[in-house]
Amino acid sequence: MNKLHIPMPHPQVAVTVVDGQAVIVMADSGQVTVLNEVGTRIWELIDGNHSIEEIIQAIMAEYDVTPEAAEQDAEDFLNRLVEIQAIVLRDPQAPN
Amino acid sequence: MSDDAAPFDLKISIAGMRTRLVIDGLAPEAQGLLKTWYSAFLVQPDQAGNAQTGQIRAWVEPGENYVPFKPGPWQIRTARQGERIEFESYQERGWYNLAEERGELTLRPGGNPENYLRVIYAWRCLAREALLVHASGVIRRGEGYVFFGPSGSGKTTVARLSPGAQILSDDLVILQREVMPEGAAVRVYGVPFRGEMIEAERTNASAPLAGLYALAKAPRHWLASLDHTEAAARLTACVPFVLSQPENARRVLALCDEITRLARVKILHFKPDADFWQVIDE
Repeated sequence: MNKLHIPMPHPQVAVTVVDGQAVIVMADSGQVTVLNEVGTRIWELIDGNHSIEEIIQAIMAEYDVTPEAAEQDAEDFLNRLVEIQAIVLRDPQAPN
Repeated sequence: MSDDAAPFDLKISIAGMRTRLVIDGLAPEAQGLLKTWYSAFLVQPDQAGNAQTGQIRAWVEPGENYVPFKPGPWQIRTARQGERIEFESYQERGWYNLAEERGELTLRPGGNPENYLRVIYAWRCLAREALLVHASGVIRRGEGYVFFGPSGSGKTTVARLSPGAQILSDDLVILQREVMPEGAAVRVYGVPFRGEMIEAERTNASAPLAGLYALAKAPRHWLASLDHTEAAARLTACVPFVLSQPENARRVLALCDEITRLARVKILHFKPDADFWQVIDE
């Protein structure tokens, strides 16, 4: 996973935060996923402005986790979101 | 199509939403079946009401299936563009315009308008902040009990195991928020659509919602609490057809959030006998 890439919500995804937890609906399939507190915080940072590296730094700063754990957990989580097509990754160096 | 036969004319009202379905060329047996299925939902000629009636014109046209038949889950293709809903299944193809409240449907001989009606009612419900939900529902002692979950979770089973209760449906019910003197509440409405319980009476009734139960098969009966977020998410996952665009998926999520706040929501662990009612009643 290239940490300079910038994750963005997939255009076919709807998200609502219910009691502090993000609920993601994949509009294509109707699949529904609930994110935990840290997942919800990461989702807030998936706004098309933060790179993966910046998201990892934010999680390290806000939660009591080791850098290795923050990196591993964030990458696993983002990979899963890519897999279920909840997010897409933008390469900031790629031409628009 | 026979020109001399009068078209089949069906006027029904489901949860107060009216539809007039006029079909040309429908075989007499199919007419009889539809009349029987929807008999409790027919609008009586003298029935007052100014509810907007959805007008659907339909024809039977011989030809190839619209969607090639493959064994497996029943295929319904549906999409929305603006106010227009497109619909296609094996032997039916049509559209419905939600703003104009009218649509058209063509049926192959042997086709059936029911799946088309399910889809348009799902959208018409959402338009009035109600939800058509994949769930079974019964009325017991004047209160509505709704059991939801994915296919195979036991919706039909719990409906069958509810002796003495009035069955609203084993497959789909409508949930609508309503304002009562004592505050907001949720009401459950029956629909004439059925899953496996083809033989069950199609009840045109509604009741205040007593509880929403997410089904889980288990070796014994017990109720477990369900975190609110999880409840809203699970209910959303049981709303068919209308999640297909993010803006509408958000509306569904918001409605599920609201409904699961207003209602008692539990996980019902159950085995296939009627004693599960004891844990609900405790």
